[in-house]
Amino acid sequence: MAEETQHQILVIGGGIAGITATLDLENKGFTVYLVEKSPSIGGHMAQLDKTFPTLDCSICILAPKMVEVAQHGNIRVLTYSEVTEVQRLGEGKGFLVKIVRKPRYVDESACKGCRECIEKCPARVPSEFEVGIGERKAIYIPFPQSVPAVATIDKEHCLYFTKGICRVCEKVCPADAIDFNQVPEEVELEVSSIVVATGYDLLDPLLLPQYGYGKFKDVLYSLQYERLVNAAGPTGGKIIRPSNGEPPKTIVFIQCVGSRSEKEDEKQYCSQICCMYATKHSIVTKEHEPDAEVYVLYNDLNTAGKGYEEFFNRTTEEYGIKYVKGLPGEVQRDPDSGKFLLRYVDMGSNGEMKHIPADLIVLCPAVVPQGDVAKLAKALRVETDEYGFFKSADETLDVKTSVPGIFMCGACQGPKDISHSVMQAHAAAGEATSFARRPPHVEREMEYVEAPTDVSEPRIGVFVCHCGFNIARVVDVGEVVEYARALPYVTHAEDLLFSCSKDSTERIKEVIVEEKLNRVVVAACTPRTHEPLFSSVCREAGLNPYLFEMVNIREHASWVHPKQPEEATEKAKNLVRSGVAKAMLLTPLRELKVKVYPSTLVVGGSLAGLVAAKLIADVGFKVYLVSGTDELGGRFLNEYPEVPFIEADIRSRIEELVSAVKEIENIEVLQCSEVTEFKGSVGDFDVRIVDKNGLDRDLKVGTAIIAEDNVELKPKGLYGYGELEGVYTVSELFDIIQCGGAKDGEVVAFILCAGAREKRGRTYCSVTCCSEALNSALSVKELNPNSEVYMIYRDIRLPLIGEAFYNRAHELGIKFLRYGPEEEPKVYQEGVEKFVEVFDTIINMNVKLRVDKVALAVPVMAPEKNHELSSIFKVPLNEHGFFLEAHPKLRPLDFASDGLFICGPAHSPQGLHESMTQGLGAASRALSLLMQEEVLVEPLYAEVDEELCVGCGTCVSLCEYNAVKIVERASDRLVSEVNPAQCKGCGVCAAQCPSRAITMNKFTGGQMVSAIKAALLDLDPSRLKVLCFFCNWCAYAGADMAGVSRYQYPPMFEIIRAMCTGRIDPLWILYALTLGADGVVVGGCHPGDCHYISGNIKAEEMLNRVRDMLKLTKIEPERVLDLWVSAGEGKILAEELDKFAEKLTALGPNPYRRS
Amino acid sequence: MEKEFMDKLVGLPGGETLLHCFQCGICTSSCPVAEEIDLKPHQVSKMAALGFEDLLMSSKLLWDCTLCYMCTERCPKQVSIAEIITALRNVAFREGMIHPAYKLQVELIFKLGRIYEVTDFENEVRADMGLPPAPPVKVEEVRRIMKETSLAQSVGVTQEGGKP
Repeated sequence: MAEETQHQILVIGGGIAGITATLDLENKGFTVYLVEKSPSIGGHMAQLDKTFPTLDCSICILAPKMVEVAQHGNIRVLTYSEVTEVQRLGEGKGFLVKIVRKPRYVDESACKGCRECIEKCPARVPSEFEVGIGERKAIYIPFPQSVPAVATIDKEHCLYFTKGICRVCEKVCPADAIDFNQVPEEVELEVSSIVVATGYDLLDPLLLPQYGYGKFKDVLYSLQYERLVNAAGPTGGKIIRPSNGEPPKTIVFIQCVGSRSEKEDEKQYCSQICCMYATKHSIVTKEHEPDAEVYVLYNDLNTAGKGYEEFFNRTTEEYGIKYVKGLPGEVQRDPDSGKFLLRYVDMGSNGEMKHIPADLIVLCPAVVPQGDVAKLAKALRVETDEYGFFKSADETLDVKTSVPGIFMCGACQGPKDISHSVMQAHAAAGEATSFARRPPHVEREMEYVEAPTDVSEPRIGVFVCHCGFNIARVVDVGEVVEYARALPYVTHAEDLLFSCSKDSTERIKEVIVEEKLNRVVVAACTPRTHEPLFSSVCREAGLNPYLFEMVNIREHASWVHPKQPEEATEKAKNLVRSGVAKAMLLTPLRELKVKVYPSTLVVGGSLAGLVAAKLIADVGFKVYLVSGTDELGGRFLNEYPEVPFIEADIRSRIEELVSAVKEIENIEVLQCSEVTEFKGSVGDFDVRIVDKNGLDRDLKVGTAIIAEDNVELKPKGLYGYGELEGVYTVSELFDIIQCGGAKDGEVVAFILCAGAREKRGRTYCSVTCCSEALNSALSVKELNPNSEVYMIYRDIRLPLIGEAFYNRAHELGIKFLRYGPEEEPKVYQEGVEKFVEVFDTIINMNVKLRVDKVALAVPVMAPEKNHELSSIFKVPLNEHGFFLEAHPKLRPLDFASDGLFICGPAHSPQGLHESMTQGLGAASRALSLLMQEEVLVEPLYAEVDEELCVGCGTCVSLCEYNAVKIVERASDRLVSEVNPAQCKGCGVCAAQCPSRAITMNKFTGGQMVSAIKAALLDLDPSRLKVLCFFCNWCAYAGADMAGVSRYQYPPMFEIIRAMCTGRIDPLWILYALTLGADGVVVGGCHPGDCHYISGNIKAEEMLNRVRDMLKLTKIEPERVLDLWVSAGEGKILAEELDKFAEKLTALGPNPYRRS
Repeated sequence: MEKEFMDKLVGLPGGETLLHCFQCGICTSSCPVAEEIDLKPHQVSKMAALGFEDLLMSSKLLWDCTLCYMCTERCPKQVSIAEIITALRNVAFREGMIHPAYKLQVELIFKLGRIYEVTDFENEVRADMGLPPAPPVKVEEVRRIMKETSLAQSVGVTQEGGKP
């Protein structure tokens, strides 16, 4: 294989899985060819309105990734192209691939995406992107954020191609890009490996004519509904009945349309994602139309997944959405009223028949493989399964196809949601990395050309984002723009529909150059996700990226004050004013280059941890695997050593992996050891490990992965567990069965959701219990055919392959009893006999069973140890003690802190397949850093003004990172000096420097005071105003979470971000109060969880001093609130702010304001 | 005893599909008489599985079902609810639990070879429609079949007058 071929990888499919795999591999130094058959990358995710369970705007989080793909030098995007032939060049030699580039009839390199042609094109066609409910022209760009933003002519509908007339596009194109003579072009490539990510389609709802799709205009299917509710969709986000344009009063979602069916043309499996997206739709619908009645008709509710059950619970608790067990048989319309008369059985109320007059019906069809995937499978010589999904060569690993060197990810392998597609994309990229040879290290373009900019006299450009309707529905964007335009130093202000779309970022660049801007403010969403995108936009326009400031008017305004549009607009104006005031004082900064230590720490000997360690070592880096016990392999080896529904001998497979991990030279296994200290930053961490003899060992690593195992609940007292003989957990019973401890003819009852899906406490679904219980029930019945087996369940949640086994259980005579959370089963003893009593909600009767054995399908729980790890690594946990990822959809395996990753049971309850995927995925994420060898780090460090410094050494004693020392300058003057590489940027030293000689980059005293002053200008005497100083990692992230989750709080609160509460200068608080703020909230991480070790503790001490000081003034000390919440506690944050607002309302305005 | 009932049903024609039911409710939602019956089609398979023989045997559903087969048509698991109901009727019938209307029908067939008597009125209607008079029925043949299949004895009609 030629040298360059080794470093070339082909990714087929430009949806979120393909995009993720592409970026992952490009980060590692590979050249990636991304082939997409449609005119733009983006896939289905670009069509979605929101994502569950955080209700993020889908395109808003996807667009930055698409832009990244377009910008990275080592990615070649071949859209409107198809792979036609693949030839394997022999063992280790890679593949020869033929790709056909279909003619766009537009010169891709000439087209500027100006849309002149589209404007003038007379031919209207149903749009594929709008799933037929909207139109496009015959020459088109599929959607505003399209990458590439290049027009394509649809030959089938073009008047020139069909009738030989028109050619108006050619006439109006200013770039002469139209080329009617284009022909298909064949491209030949040699690549070392291939990642397939061709995604899914939905089953054609016409195949189920009883539901009226195609017959009635007001019967839509789910993807159409995504477009209907989307602000950028054909109705501008207005939910209407397509038949008459009226808003629907009653909307019904029908589940399992073609899923879980044995009928011809329908699918046997559960499509996995429909219950969750219908749940999302129902919430989104209620947010658009609070008065609409929303019904979801289902069979079994499948909301298995991290945070999914909790998301579902909100539908009934907060939104009054009606979930009914009972699928309807048909959709009929009442010819008089024009409404649907939906008739269905409500199985939960003793089979009562219900009739609802519905205005709009939304079908949730089965997920099926992408249309022409069979052709591709043939070209690749890859096997597919009975449903047409790509088949794994290895029963335990989802990312390996039957051809070595060809990997797969996303829904082409089986129905899955975005997070699982992303995890798999990383896993597939990891495997492809290990298969291809490691690319040579390429010195990256770390420098950029900065246009000579005079920054002294600010010329500020303000861009206000509509975010479709996400902002504009509540905030009057036009008013905010007008307001911004009048602010000091603002030389340009405009609004953008989606500021993160490719055309908008191009527009920003254009304005920067044209208007000679030297500061840029974007008022849109949270800087925690979008700051990097806009910073690089500035950089590309030749402006130093640190002359950029982001204002959050979505998570912190429109999403939290949807019912107070006027106040939300006022607040947005204020936030912009404050942001502009800060921007005025921004200064250019330079990133630091940090070397990445070529080693990784893996914490936890779970299966995911082992898989991660092995992949990293295989690629050639050192791994330290730390396990608290002397056992490796975790729960899948020791607790439930069988994977439901697959034949493979898991125990020996894992044992092989364990010995491989112990033998590989690059892996050092540290058993019976604990991490006691973890310091440093990405690329350069210091770890202290203590072994069982108490001996310390210090290591240096570039990255770390947490893969701690979880533990099974032993539910003492629940259903007689630990009290009655013969009551076990499922895994305990499984052991007994394996050892021949079950007799034929026994009665065995399995109780599902035992101690899970609770109202409070363990509210989560543990994901694998249904499968493990069913698997064990089948074992009982197969070994002892005369046994009577009962499954007492709430909802059956099985993976794709599980449905056939569910059928088998029925065939074997296993009986299913369904209970509701209102009335749990009872297990008791009478004399020598044991009974289970259950109220079956289907027949509405109490069923009493005499039983011999009871098996409880209990959830797994996060171990206590996670709390220790959380404070050692300074990474957050969710409410159940599992680690909290940076973003549930797009960064599911990353922590918010750079260089740290999670996988496996540490992430959430999960089965073996997901654990393997996550292990590989997290390893791949770590490899991206390791293979880059050096990373650029934001210049977030403290700087000392030596003129002001008196050399007192306060900063030296405060710094947790030994980054400050006292040095002697000429003339015997002692001053402190900060080592930028060691400084982590908390800013504690700056806040506490007695002579204010230290400042923190990006959050300088001057900038912050300017922001505070602007925030409190022209206070409205009739309204209270509270300034919140929130730390980036917990409180600010928590406020973002409140926004995405739509937890509301009063608009009086305005949030100013700092990296740490330790940065909050007491003077800022006093300044804010003297300017008339009615309250101040300082919000940060829970004590012990501070991202910078102890910044929050220092802030707490500071706040106590401030309150003491306030006692001497007219201002009541209780006007200063400290609020410690985690990034996941959006709800608590909103509740606390609510309470504080009540308290302040009782206190009345700040006495300084009154006087 | 529970098990026996289930086995009995599963062994009857149409009964073998009973085991596949996974309780989605489509059968009941599709049933044209669902509002009128006490037990709903989806509850039948569950009760049968649990051996609630008495409840099933005494249910209104058993005899009110019109055997329109909509449930069977729509069932995603291809359970033939209509055939199961027929099987249940057979079980009930054998145990002497017979709905009076059904009994009346059997009596009429025994008596007339048809479920209703053909009079001049019927034939006039037929003539208006251009049809020949209803052909005669070989009543004795019908009776013989009814006796040999012991249908007649089960219902208790063995001679022309009706009751023996």
